[in-house]
Amino acid sequence: MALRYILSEFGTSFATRGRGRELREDLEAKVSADAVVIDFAGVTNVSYSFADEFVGKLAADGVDLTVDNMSAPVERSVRRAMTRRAGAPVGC
Amino acid sequence: MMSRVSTTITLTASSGGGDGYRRDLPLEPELTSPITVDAGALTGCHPMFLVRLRLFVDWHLAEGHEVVVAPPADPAVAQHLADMRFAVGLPEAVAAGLPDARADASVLGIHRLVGDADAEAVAALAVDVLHRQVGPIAGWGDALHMAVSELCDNALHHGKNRLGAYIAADRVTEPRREFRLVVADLGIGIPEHIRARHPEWQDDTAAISRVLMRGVTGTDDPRRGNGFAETIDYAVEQQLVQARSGVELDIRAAGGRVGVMLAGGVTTIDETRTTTPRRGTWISYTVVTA
Repeated sequence: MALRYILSEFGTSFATRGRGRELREDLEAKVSADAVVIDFAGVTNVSYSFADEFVGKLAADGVDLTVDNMSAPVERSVRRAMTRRAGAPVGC
Repeated sequence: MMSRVSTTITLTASSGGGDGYRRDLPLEPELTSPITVDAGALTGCHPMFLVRLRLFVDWHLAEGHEVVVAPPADPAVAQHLADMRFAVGLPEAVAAGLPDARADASVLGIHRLVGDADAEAVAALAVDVLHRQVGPIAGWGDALHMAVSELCDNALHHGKNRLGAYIAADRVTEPRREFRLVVADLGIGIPEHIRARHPEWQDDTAAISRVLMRGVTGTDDPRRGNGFAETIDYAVEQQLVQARSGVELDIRAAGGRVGVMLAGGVTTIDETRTTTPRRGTWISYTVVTA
């Protein structure tokens, strides 16, 4: 069963690479499942650098990742980061 | 009998402009304390000037100097300085002559950032302030969040220095309607940072221009270096949606200066060089609204 990581438990706006690293490390410490779903419901903004550090690096590390409930501006950053970092499409 | 020596810096009516570096507020430990900055003649106050003045005060306080800012004689300018939170966090004696700031949720004012939590908070706050000032124009808040996030993140981490980074923003309606945001730091500056990986880029202006391209980074990770490009991309997209709006990005560091103007669906890049190198990195991001 996939781990569902609900981002709104940590805030609604994410700006920095440092914050992305912090959340990625938190998520990695919790992962025992084969797959992870990151739920962006309620998140209004993420910067490109945050998305790159958080989701982009997870995708690059080969984590079986699904991103869910993204608003259009959030999806914009997340998709770009994942594409550039992993070079592969990701489920949603 | 010993005479007490001091320094007085008298600002002129035009001192409050948007240049990020001027010799009239020197960061030199040799200045004799106490230092008085006489702002009596000021007739206006660009957020870049506000950052420069606050940075001057913080820098000299950190050097152990006494600093006093004599307020602008024009009550409206003095009130603006106060409302922009100039005195927040300063010892009372530094700006004792300023009026009390008015509580106004639509003013971002000046903020000093020392860590990621500050940048996270101010990025969200900037979007809220923009919406309060000019209304929730579709997309502009998102583009601004991107800009504030990337600029502050860079300033804090690549411009690392003992004072951290500064951000300030205001809104003007004349001669045109603008939301003016600036981010500055006293770090090594963009050209020096980028030369850590690209020592061949010795020209400061050319080095600044390069960081606007994708994948140009001073870090060890070749997949980084997209923050500026993302900021500009997002602004371009919004400018195309909001036809009667535009963005101007102005980056000054060391001996280089690059301006990027987005208007009427056209992107114009202006590169200039200066004979007076500036310390740190000084960036303004201006949203022009119809």
